[in-house]
Amino acid sequence: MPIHNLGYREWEGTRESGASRWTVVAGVGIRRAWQSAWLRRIAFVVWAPPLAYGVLIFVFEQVLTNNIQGSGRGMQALVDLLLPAEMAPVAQTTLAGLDGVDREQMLAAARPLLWKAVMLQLQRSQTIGMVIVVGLLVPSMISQDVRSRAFLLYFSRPLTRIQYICGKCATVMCFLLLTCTLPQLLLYIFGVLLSPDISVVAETWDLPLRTLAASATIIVPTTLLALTLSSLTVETRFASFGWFAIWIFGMAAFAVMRNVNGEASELVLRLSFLFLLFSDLSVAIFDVPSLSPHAETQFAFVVALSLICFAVIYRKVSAPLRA
Amino acid sequence: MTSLIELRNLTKDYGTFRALAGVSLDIDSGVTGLLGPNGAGKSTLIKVLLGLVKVTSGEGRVLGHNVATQSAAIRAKVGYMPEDDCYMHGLSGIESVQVAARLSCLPRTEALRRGHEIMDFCGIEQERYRKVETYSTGMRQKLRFAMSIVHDPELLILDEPTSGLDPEEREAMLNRISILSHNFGKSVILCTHILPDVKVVCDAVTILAAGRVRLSAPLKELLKSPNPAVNVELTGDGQKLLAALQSCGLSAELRRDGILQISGEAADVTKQLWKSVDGCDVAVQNMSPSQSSLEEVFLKSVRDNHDADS
Repeated sequence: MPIHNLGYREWEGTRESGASRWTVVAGVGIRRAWQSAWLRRIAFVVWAPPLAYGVLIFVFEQVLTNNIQGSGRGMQALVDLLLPAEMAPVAQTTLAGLDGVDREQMLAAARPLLWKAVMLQLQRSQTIGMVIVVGLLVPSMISQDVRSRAFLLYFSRPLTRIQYICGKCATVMCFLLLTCTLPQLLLYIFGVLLSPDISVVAETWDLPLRTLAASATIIVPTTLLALTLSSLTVETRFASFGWFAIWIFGMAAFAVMRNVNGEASELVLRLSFLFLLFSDLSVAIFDVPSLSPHAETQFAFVVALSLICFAVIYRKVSAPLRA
Repeated sequence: MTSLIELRNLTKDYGTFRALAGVSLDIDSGVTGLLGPNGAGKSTLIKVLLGLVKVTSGEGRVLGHNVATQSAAIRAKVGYMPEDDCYMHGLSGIESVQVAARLSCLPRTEALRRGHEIMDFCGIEQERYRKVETYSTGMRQKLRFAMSIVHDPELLILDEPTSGLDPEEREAMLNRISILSHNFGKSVILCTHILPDVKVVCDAVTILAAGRVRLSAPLKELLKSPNPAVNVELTGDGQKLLAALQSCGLSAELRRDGILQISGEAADVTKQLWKSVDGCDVAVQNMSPSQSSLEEVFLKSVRDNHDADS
């Protein structure tokens, strides 16, 4: 027996508000997830693209501010390198008329476009990282609680289903913010700090807000979809398979259907391939005119998907208790 | 005095299967054994008490809170130790207990301090820093017990707390339950199949079978023999004494284990016994009123009601 064993003693302290119980669930999830060496590696690797894009912004700003007179076509070549393909016509329209104008005018027209292009491209590359991070992290989150019957330990406490789900969502969102949103925000700060011209803030102040909005549009449905898969099975591997299958089959559908003409097939394609769906939504949120006319439908689809996923999780998390 | 648990005509159906059929029950403070054969509805009753499943009809109150509408308040005051081998994957023992305390709203630092204190009480030493997955069955059992009492609950519901424990640990666990009940006034519902455990720690027993309460009474009353008798342990040959007692008109028999069983109330029997012992060349080593065994009570209760049902 330890010498400090005082036996049982009653506890008479003041209890905290129950509103913070979800943070306990989130804390458990984060602690558990961080034990995965692979997740730590991936979380480290996904910081590489922002560094590369940061260098690009730095070069761009240096070129413009060192009085090297650019031309509209030269600028367009640079933007074309970065812009998503569907944005190319917009860039052409914006930059084509810039030949011969002075540097300030060119800068005011080109800078927001280029910064948005960089942010969008970074968002796309981070989406790939997000798929991997979620694939490593989420499938076990609810399925393992069911398998190890931790449900009984959680729900024999005054914890509600909503608090449990919020805790699980917060775990996932914490990692996604760390690997997707934070790099973008730091890239913006990095770009501003390295830009010799302070007017960049006036021209791009809305980008962090747009980044947050675009991240939320991607992270919320992604988190709920992955947690839904985890809640549907006690076998983590099935949930992992389901998660990666959604992305891989979406890509396959994209490859097959892209050659089929027609409005309906175009819409189906842009809804079924999540990568394209999130990319289109980001383009809309960054206010870059694009050729995709389905932004409202896609946004409605994402909201509906999130609500359905939430309903499924809400139903499934208490199912083992009812049995 | 209001009962800790009051259930009135409680019914729970799972589809067409009736798990609880009109359960009416009052449980007072102290240690109450909840007994019943497999499938009797014990687990369902526990889930109802915790508000984890909704009842089909009837009503119930636990610690003054309605089970249908105030389940969160009930779970804040109740400690539950599940029978299942459940654990929070990836956490160490002390982290698990800390999480349990935090979920019951203890502040972070206090939860850790209290966790260590409770693990000391439960006899979990350096193993508390190991991952729970590496624990033996007995260790997990102790851990679940620690998690159930870390928030200092008023009522403890323990589902098979001694299963999987070696004899020494089993005794220690029963001792802990007794300490909590007798020294700290905690009420305990002990759900078990191990009847000797019930005999050691329980003040009252409730027997459940086929979703109905078959019997609910203080343990002392249950163990009273329906035909009062006195068991006498002797040294020497008891035949002479037996004959002497029978000649006095007492009904007595010498059992194979050498114990003399004399029918009648203890007060009447004792007087005659001491008179008869003289001159029979025997010494009385021990004398106690005859009791029914808990096994007999349990089996009789379950079988009688089964016959009545069929």
